[in-house]
This record gives sequence, structure tokens and C-alpha cells, in this order.
Amino acid sequence: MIHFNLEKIFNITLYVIVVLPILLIATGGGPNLAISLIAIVLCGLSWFAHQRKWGHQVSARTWNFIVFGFVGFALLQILFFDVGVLDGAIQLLIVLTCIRLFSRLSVREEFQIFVLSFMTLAAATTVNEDMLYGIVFGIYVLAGTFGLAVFHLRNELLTRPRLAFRARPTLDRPYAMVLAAMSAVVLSTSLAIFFVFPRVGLGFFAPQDRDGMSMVGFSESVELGGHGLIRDNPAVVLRVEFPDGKPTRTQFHWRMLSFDFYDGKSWARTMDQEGMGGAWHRDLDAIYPSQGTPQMVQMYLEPLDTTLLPTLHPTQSIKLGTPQVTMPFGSRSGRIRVDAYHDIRHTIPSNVGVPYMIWIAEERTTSNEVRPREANPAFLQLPPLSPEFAQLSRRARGNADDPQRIAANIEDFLESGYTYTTDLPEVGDSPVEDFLFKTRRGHCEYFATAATLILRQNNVPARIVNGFYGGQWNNVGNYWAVRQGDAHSWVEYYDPQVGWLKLDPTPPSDSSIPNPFVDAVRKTMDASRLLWTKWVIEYDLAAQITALKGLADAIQGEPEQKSKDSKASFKVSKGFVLVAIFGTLMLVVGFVFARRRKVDPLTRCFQQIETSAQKLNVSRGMDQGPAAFLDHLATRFPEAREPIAEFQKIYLASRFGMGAFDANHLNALTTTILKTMKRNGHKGTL
Amino acid sequence: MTINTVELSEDPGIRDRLRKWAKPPRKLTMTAAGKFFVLLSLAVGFGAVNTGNNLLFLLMGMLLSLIIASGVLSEAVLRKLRVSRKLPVRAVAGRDTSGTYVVNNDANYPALSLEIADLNARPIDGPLFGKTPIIGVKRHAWWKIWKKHQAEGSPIATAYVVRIEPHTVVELDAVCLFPTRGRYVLESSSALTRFPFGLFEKSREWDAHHEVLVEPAPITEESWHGELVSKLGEVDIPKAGGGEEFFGLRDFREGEDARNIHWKSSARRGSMLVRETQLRHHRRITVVVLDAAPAITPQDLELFEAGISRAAGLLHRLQISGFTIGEHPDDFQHIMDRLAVVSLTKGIPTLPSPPADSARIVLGLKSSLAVAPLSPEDLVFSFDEVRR
Repeated sequence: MIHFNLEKIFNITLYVIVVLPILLIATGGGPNLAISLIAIVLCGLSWFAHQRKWGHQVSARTWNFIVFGFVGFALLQILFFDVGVLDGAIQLLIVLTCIRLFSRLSVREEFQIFVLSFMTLAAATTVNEDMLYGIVFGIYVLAGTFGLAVFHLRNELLTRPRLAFRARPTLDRPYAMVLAAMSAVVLSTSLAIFFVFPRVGLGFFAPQDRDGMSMVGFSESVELGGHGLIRDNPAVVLRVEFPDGKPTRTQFHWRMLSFDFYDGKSWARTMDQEGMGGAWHRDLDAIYPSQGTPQMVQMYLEPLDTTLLPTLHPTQSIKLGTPQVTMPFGSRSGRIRVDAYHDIRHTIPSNVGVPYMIWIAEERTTSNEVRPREANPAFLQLPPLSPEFAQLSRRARGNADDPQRIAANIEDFLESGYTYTTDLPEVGDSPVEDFLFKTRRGHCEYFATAATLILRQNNVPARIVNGFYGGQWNNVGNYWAVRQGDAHSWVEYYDPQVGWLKLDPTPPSDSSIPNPFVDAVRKTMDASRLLWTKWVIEYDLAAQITALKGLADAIQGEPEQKSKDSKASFKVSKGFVLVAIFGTLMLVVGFVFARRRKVDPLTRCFQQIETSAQKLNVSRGMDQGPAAFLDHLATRFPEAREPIAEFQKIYLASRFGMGAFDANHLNALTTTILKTMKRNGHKGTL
Repeated sequence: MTINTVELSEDPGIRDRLRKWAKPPRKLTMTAAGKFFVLLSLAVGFGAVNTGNNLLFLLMGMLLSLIIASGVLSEAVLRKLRVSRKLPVRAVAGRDTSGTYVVNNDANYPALSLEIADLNARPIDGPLFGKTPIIGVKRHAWWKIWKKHQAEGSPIATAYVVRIEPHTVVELDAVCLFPTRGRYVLESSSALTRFPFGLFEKSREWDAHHEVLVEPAPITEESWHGELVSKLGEVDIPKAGGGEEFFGLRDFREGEDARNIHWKSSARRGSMLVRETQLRHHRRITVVVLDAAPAITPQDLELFEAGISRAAGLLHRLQISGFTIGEHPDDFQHIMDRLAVVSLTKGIPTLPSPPADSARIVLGLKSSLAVAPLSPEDLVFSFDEVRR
């Protein structure tokens, strides 16, 4: 008979490792949510059902019938409903796990539960790749390793019933400590193997992929009139690391997409969108007027449902990758294309996050010797508009002649006479004219559209640009985070003397001050998510090379040439110091532990009793030998007389008679004596 | 039953050193769960490399680290152990015999989940000699992963302990079991552990020579005994003894039991007389086991084994019934020694002449009995008629 303790611990760990992957799948949502929740309830029921052996009364044929029935159900879902094959397989795994939990009888069936739970965890990689997976993985490794070790011990004793009956084994503290330490070591080793294992993917079946984030406010056409509360969407789409730390400037316009054709309601693109070139490094200084020394900025773009790459205005050049590995490998190999709108796209086939660098400089508003290319006449297109609009355009222009002054006047005109709101009033067939003449309230797209049309009405080539504005500095992760809620529209107009310049006519909105606690939590979560994404989800050969280079630099001791890349900015030297401190600490602890363990167990047990007695004011006299001391102890603690007598017999026989003794039995006796003494401590007090 | 003690030490002899050098220091086999685990690791690794999915790499890291932890921890368990054994020199086939393993853990940490075993034995005499190289655990080659278990059979002697404290000596009760009679050599003892996960079994061996004689398991054939007692039972001998029949009267001697006084005759005679009874005595018996047969089939071998067990049972029963076995107190053991190793050979059986005052019992296969020169006075028992 196995001691209850061992069986109970085994059951707890088994249920932990079963429920965790199912929870992961449940949090992934989709068609597996309902079955995951049902499975969690069934797992709870199976705990009681197993104890009462209800599942054993069900015949194997019934279980088989349930399994085959579910296989049929899954097939129906796949064939006639929008359920993927993988989802069907996940559901089947969950059902099989539940059935095994109810019907487990033998060691073999229990091992099958371990395997099923692991397969469910592996399958969960397809539905949940959030940071939660990392947390669950950590707990799973700890609990799974512990559970597997307890499972082994339990099975060894089950196969030796006589021994189990005689020895009444329990998972006592030292054994449990060993298993817990082993679990921690296994977790550390897992992570070490993860980082060291070379990421040379063969990619026979599926490339590395992530679920793309749907972009609110971004599409190949923008329609006025329909708009959500995009300010409330906190999902980070872009993380930007500035090598010199937090930037002083905060008014960043992250440019992504521009439009030329407006039909009175919506914007569209009519020119060549294929783009030119196919390099992984492109110079853009001919497009945007800039001046001063360019500064490199490292960008990390989340997987989006678009191939556009956000850039700052003005960007001089752009390059895929990181400073260490500028030519991405594997699933991230791709090129940069610039289309007729000067929008920049990547050609990376897989849906992965994209690391890239841009070099930004100051915007130049004066002409120099380099003449910009002429603007396409498409940027002067106007929809049919009322005569009032032409009058308003003239009024907005004022008496300005050159494009920059016209733009400045239009900006002043719109900012002074119109209000920003996301709570849009009803508009008619011509949303811009309704905005300009009736409602006088609108969001950025209304302001940008109005400004673009007014510029065009005044013969200044202009285009509406979609992207992100602003963002927030994350002081936990030391990067600039741009969220979906930062989506914005503004205008680019063409100055024949300078080139394309930026105009943002939207007046500032009343932004509420966020709750500092919520803000801190959000920043911490986002920084953790960035680490998770960078070091786990998108950790690849390039990152490995980066880390190796960082390691090499740290060993060579060239801090002044330390990489500016974020992944390399992982403080390797600090990491080494931490590891060294931890290692030294472990060595000291190990040494002390080893010294302690080297004491003969017989002496150690005696010393324990002596120390405990001393604490209870029963000290050993100078003239007292071990036998006399133990006799004295037995008179002070009559409740412990029997175990003390037995201990004395073993101690004297082993110490002076060189007899063998059972260390486990001796430990058990010592524990009994110590507990009894402690319990009756007041009686022993002199 | 005598016990001898064999200290297991690593013999420094050249031959043993060479053998030790050729042998791997540890043996590693996969358990059934371990095979599945390795296959799962390969599958996950294949999936990770193919898809580049880092979460699969994370899982692969976990599986590989479990394998590494298994290797390191099982080595830690075995590395600083010393084992000696106290096993019996005689045993009975098919019956548990107790022995002892003495295990020293010289490490600074406890040894966990440890099995000490004599995995197999080599027959050097008896029915299995020349037919099978070893009995006990037979291991398959490591690459035969399709086999359900990497090892088949049960160890000859085994003991298990959950934990041995550091720097302690533990005596473990071992259970020895030899399935078949004969003389065997135990060549090595092993310490095995499946710690920590039961996925792999690592073992370390110590060479040590130990011989065991395994007697046949005695099985009493009641019909044989009944017939033997009815035909060759007790006989009266014409001299005074401890029987029941009247022999005579004699004078009472000082110190004799007063209950033996024949009061009626004493009254008549006027002096104390004692009643004497006639001596009863078992007949001398010669037991002959025919170990040759003109032709031997596999069925004959089975019958012969069953018959040897019955022969041992008959001898035990005779001893219990008061028959004197042999001329010397050790003769019974010598007979059992012979029964332990006797083998059936092809040929015509011969019968030794019994002493003049002895009856002869002949045991053997029907085919042996048919060609043996039996006499009409012989009591014949055929192995073919026993219950199997």
C-alpha cells in the first residue's frame, strides 16, 4: 500500500500538468474555447470519480464509442463548419485526456496522460504564443518534472508491494527538496538549450509565423464617416529603441501609407503600387528633404496584416535587420520596396515581426542645390466640390503665395476654427463639406482630408498620409512604444523648391491623464512582452549571432565598441557578473552543505537531540557521557522514553560496537524524539 | 542451510582487468516509457527545426534537459556506491531464499531509488547446462526499440531501497529465486537505478564469483508414498525393542519406568517384572533414479524434471517418516546434491545391485523402465504417471 502522501502529491502534479495546457488553449479562444472550459470542469469531476473508481465501472467499449463518436463530430466540424484540422486535433487531444483521467487504472494509462498533456502543450503553440505561454511553460516544467519523479517513485513501490507495506514510504522533506531542486535545474537547462540550439530551420512544412494584428484605420482605401474609438486600443504595434536613450522630441509622425485619389467620400490609390527596387537597404534622401547628421533608430514592428514599414519623417535611409545582422536569414529574409507614393513595404513572406533600422535627420524646409523630382499630377486631383468650398479655400490660403506659407495658413485656419472629436456627428453625402460648413467637428482624417483638398484647390500637390502619431516612452524597457490607439492621419504637400513636406492640421485633443498604477502595469507588461517576443518568439539565427557577438565583445573587453543594437544591448557583462555571483553563492552553499553532510549521521542525530534539549534548558553536563545524558533526557521527557531508549541502544551499539544501523530508521527516531520533546518542552524546563 | 559471504570487490587480476576494460563502465537501457519519450523528443525536434517555431524549441529544450538530468542524476546515484553481498550457497528451485546486500554510500548526498540485483546466473551443471548460457534477465540490443521491454526475465536476486543516506551502510534484504535446479555461478552484482523519471535504467556492475547449488523443489506424490509404506513398510525383528508386539518378561531394574511393570505377573511371581516388546524396524531401501533413456524427446525432458521433483519429495517424506537416509548424516544432502544436477542422457540405464537386506525402488521414465533390468521385487514408479 502506498502512503497517501505520495499518491496525493502525484495526483496534484498530474492534474496541474493536465489543466495548464488546456487553460492555454482556452485563452487562445476560437473554436476550442468551449471544449476547453468543459474539459476543465470534467478534470475537476474526474478527481472525485477516480477516487470513487466510477470510471472503472465503464467498459472499454463505451470509452471507445465516445472516442470514435468525437472523431466523427470533429470531422463534421472540419467538413461543414469553419473549424481547422489542427483545431479538430486539439479538441480530440483534450477529449482523450479527459477520458484517460476518468478511466486510468494502470501505470501505463497514467503515463499516457503525461504524454497527452505534453502533446496538448505542444498543440497550444499554434493557438497561443503570448507571454502566458512562457509562464505556463515554466510552471509546467517545474510541476511536470516533479510529477514525473514522484510517478517513478510511486511505480517502483507499486511493483514492490511488500517493501511499500513494510517501509510505509512517504515523500519526506529531503526527497521532496531534491526533486524540487531537480525541477529548477531542468527548467534552467531547458532555457539554456533553447538559447544555444542552432536555429537552422529546414522549413519543409511550415515557416515561422505569428498571428498578424488587424490594423484599425489602415487599409488601401480610407472612407470618411466610419470610425471607431481607436484611442482606446492599447495594443503595441511598434517599438522603437533610440541608441542615445529617451529622445527629447515627442512629436513623432510614423509614416506608413498615403493616398492620391479622393472621390468625395473615400481615399484610394490609383498609381503603381508594385514599387521599385528590391534591396534590403535603401536610401530615401532624394525623396524627403533633410539636413544634419542622421541618427540610427532601431525599430521592431509587430506582425501586422500589412507589409508597410513605418518610418519617421524625414527618413534618410532604411535597412532590414539589426546592426549585427543586417541581412536577415530564414523566414525573415526579404527586401524593401518603395512605391510611387514613397510608401515603404517589405517583402518578407512569413507573418513575423520585422526588425529594421532607419536613419533620421532634421527636416529641411529650405532649398539646396539638389532639385527634387516633380510631383505627379495625380496629387492635384479634386472631386466635384461646391463653389463654397472654392471660396473657403481662398479664405484659408489668405494672401500667401509659396506652398509652405499656404500650408501654414491652412493649418492655422483649421486649428482655429474647428474642433477635434472622435464622437462624430452625422454627415451627409459630402463628408468634408459637411465637416467644413456644418458640423465643424471631426477627427484627424477629416482635418487631413480638408487640408489636402484645400491645398490642391490652391494648386499645391498634396496627399493624405496614414500612420501613427506620438507614442509613449516605456521607462521599464527603455524604448518608445507606439500603440494602435496612436493611429493618425496628416498631410504631405509638395514644394517645388524643397520637395515633400509634412503638415498636420489636426488640433490637439483633450487627452486624459492615465492612472499611474495602470500605466506602470501596462508598461511593465509591454516591456515583458517585448522581451518575450524578442528572446523567445522571434529568437532566431540572427539573434543568436547577435548574442554571440555581444558575448565575444564582452570577453574581449571593448565596452566602447559595444553594439548599439537592442538585443546586443542586453548587458552581457552585467549578466556575467550576476551569473558569477550566483555561481559563487551556489558553490559556497554547496560547500557548507557538503561539510554539514560529511558529519556522520549518527553524530548528527545525537547533536540535534543535544541542541534541542539545550534549547529546552536540559543541558548536557560536563561529566555526562552519551548514555547518561540520554538517560537523563528520558527522565525529563517520560513521553519520549521509548524512542530515547531505542536511540540509545542504536547509538551505543554503532558508536562503540561498530554495529551497522539503518540511517532512515535513526532519522525517524530522532524526529520522533525532537517532536515529543518540543511538544512537552515545559515539562523539561528546570 | 549454510551461508557464505562473498565480498564484491573489483578484482585486480589481468584477465579481469581486460574484461573490465572491454566492458562499458555503465549500462544504459530505455524503459518502455523511455522509448516513447525519446520518440516524442525526436518528433518535437523535427517539428521545431522544420517550422522554426520557437515554442517548439522551448519544448524540445525541456525534453532534452529531462534526458540530460536523467543521465547526470542516475550517474550521481551510482558513482560512489560500494556493494557486497551475502547470498546462500544452496537454494531450492522455485522457492524464495533470503540473502543480504550491504551497500555503502560514500557520497555526500543520498542515493535515491536504488535496486541491487544479481541479474543473471550461468548454469555450470544440471539440466540447463549446455542449453542456455544464462538464466535471469536477458537484455536486447539497445537498437531493438520495437521490443516492448529492453530486458526480459526476472533477476536472480534483487533488493530495492528508496534512499540511502550519505556516508552510511545499509543492509538490504534480498530475495533470491532460481527457477530451475542445477549448479550456477553468479558472476556479478549490479546496482541499477531508474531515478529520477523511470525513463532510462542505468546500471553498474561489480564482478564477483559465487556458486549456488539449487536443489529440485520437493513435491510429494502421495500415491508413491502410500504404495511404498504398504509394500515396504515396517518389519518386526526378534529382539527387544520399542515396538508393540509382546517379546517377554524380565526383572525390574532400579530407575526403570514404573509404567512398564506387568503387575499381574509380578503378583504371581512375588517380584517386580517388566514387560518387553518386540523391536520394529524400517526396511533398508535403495532408491535408483534412471538417468538414461533410449530416446529423448522434449516431452521426456519435461517429465524427467517433474519426476526429479517427485523423487526429491519422496526422499523428504521418507526422512520425515523416520527412514534413515544413507549411512551417514550427510548422505541425505549428498543425495540432494546429486538430484540437483542429474541430467537425462541417451542410453540404456543400468541398475546397481541393492544390498542383501534392502528393497529397491526404481524411479524413471517409462521408456527407461522398459529397458532397465528390473527384478520382480523392485518397487517401480514411473515419471510418466505423475501429476504434472
